[in-house]
Amino acid sequence: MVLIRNGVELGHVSGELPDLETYLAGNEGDSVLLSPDVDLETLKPRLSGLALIEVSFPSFTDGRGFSVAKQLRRLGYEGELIATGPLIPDQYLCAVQCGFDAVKIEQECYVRQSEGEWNEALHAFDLFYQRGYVRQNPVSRNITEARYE
Amino acid sequence: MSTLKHKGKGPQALTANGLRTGPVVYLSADYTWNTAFENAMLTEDPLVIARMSEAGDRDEEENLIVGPYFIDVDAETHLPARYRERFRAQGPSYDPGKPTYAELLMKDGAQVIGQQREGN
Amino acid sequence: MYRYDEFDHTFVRARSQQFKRQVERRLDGSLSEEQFRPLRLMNGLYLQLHAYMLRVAIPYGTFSGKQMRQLAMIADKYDRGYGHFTTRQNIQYNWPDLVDVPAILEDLADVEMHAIQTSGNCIRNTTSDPWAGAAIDEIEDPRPIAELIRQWSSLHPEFTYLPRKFKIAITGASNDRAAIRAHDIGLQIVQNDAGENGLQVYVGGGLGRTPIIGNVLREFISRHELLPYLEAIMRVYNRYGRRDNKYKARIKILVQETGLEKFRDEVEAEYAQLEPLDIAVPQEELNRIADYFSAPDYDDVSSSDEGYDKAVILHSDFAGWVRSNLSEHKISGYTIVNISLKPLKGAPGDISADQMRVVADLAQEYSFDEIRATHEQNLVLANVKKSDVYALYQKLVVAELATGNIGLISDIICCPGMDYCALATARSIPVGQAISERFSDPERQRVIGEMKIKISGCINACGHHHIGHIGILGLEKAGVETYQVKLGGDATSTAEVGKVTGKGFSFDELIDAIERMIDLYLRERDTGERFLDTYRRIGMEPFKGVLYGTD
Ligand code: SF4
Repeated sequence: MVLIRNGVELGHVSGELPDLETYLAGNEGDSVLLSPDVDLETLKPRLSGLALIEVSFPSFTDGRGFSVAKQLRRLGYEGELIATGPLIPDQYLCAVQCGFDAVKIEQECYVRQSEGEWNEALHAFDLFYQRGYVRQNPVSRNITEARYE
Repeated sequence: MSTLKHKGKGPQALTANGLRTGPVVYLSADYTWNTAFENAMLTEDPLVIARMSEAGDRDEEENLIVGPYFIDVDAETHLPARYRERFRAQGPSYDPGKPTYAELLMKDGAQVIGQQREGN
Repeated sequence: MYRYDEFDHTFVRARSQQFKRQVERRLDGSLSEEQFRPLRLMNGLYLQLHAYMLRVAIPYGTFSGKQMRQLAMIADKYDRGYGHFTTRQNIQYNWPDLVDVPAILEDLADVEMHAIQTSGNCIRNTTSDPWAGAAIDEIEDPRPIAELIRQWSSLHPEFTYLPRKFKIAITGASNDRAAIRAHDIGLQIVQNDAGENGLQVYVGGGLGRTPIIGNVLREFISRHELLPYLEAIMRVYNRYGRRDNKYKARIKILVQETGLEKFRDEVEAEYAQLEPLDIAVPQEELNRIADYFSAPDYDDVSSSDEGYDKAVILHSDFAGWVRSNLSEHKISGYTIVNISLKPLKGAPGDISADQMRVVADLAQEYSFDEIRATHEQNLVLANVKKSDVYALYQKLVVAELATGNIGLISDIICCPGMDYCALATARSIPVGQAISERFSDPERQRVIGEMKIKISGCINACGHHHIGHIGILGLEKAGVETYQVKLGGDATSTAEVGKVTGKGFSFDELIDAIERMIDLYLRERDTGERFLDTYRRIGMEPFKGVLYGTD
């Protein structure tokens, strides 16, 4: 798998995180892999002990993970949040705006694309209409707020 | 292995859409893609069909065409067997006052996509 | 109407640049067709039966003469000299080249237009009442809220990869001309007991394979809370809408399978966790948008106009057109002019580039430079002085746009069907043409009265056949077109899904079958009854009798 953060390819990563069941069964561990149909209520009591969460995307057209990220951040999760699956550069910005820090994609999905495309995608827009989805790096602006600055 | 499945009956033609411009195209005997169905290569020969299939995969991979697939052709009329494919070959059926697809093709001549290749 | 400020401009340009790069990456192979497909769809670009098709958004159906002229220019320069107005108040071009689409988007951006989210599994163009701002039965112009939703839904980071497409419609009038209960979300502007205007929210309506009339999710929500409330609905849908089966992925199925009560609880639970103030826009923004829609500078004119009255008496063709194509305006001395795009032998919704320019000129001269597209595939000039109507009419005649059939049997809604659509199972346009031809006598049409015939070329129901007084669905049986007939559908506030009469008809049988039903209605009707009323009163059986000879 290839990890991309801030538009930069950070090389290969291997190893799988424990799934929710395994994580909840043990008392140790500070990382978990969530499927997009996760019931966040079950994770809530253990959320503060987590430093790394991956949310899996079964296909790039399956946008459930974006809402999961948004809800995790709302629950107060502040650790690393990674979108894992066959995402394409054009979704990178959505992922970042919903609260992901990075994306982790299969090597074979990465071959067609270059790092440049991921970086370009991150900078495609710096203005958004929706409030509550601002991204820090690079800084973006909410249009409604910008109108009244 | 080809990803194109052909399970049709009788003569086959290979069709797709051109990627850059979009029109319906058919693979012709010189292995270019042609907008006129009259120029489509029709065959029942499994070896030729296999070669056509490879050409379809290759030209899709080379970003020349989109979504190639085989269609059944009526052995007697030499028209596409399926109702839907007859529309693809002939264009909209009504268009009053506007040139039909087929008429436009006659006026502008068939367009060709791709380079000629040997058929064997 | 709404005008872009610098932010809207920058945003739309950035979107068009992004799409340009996506096309380049497709052409050089960085994007596979599988990856490119959802991206192009989100920008209104289909690969249809014959060629690419580009659908351009006309937000809530309102646009200017200048925009119409640009649409005409695009039709001439990049397409085949015509465009097609759809049932969702958009316009589509049937023949563009992929390589030209980036340039088309730039040309659209020049006049504050785009193709954002006119397709794909995202929030689509919000549709609205084509008479907005002019109708006499209106509580409030719905377009400021529609514009607010347009902005909020554009490239939404969370709701752009939904289980399926998502359609919102809004009306501000008591007579629903936006078919809000046939939408994923329908919004009705209502007044609460405290005298404040807000929104009644319907959810889970839709046509397609499983037609369902939407139900009330919330009786009242203030406009300040609308966006947060929509966000809550969308989040529940995005997380729990079915993704295992394309035909069960619309929100209507989620609502049905969850149960309305439980679905409502889930939405309310999600809503309770939001910080509405972090999501809603401030009052000044609502005001800013609303200002663009303030009433035009109406002249103070008397309601009776001699020239107009005289023309009606002197010219019977004009009188006929007036009777069907004008609607009452809230300001006396003004009228709403409906322009039919359903000429005899034409394709419903089609318009040539030259005709587009004529309509643009007429809008500029007579209607405050504003045009509306309707979901019934016609156009509207919403603010015309009665004293100008005859002059306007004469220009429409010259442009072959003066068909006097609004609301009548030949004002047919019709999807493109097998003539253009990759998913079609049968033709629909030629069916519409054949019906119009059979009932071409204007006097006969008037005698028949209000009649909504709606035709779809496949089960996806883009031609709204479920909600036609007579609905027609084209299917293929062993290489032959057959047409199923539905009766009693209704898109208005008394919304209802029509019922299938029985066995389908061949193309040739169909037109006779329809005529037999019309004749039955004319025999059976009580004074003042429309076809729909008679059907509701006497029921299906007599119609079956004339259709299948079982009486
Ligand atoms: S109803 Fe079917 S044929 Fe008609 S436009 Fe929709 S998908 Fe195409």
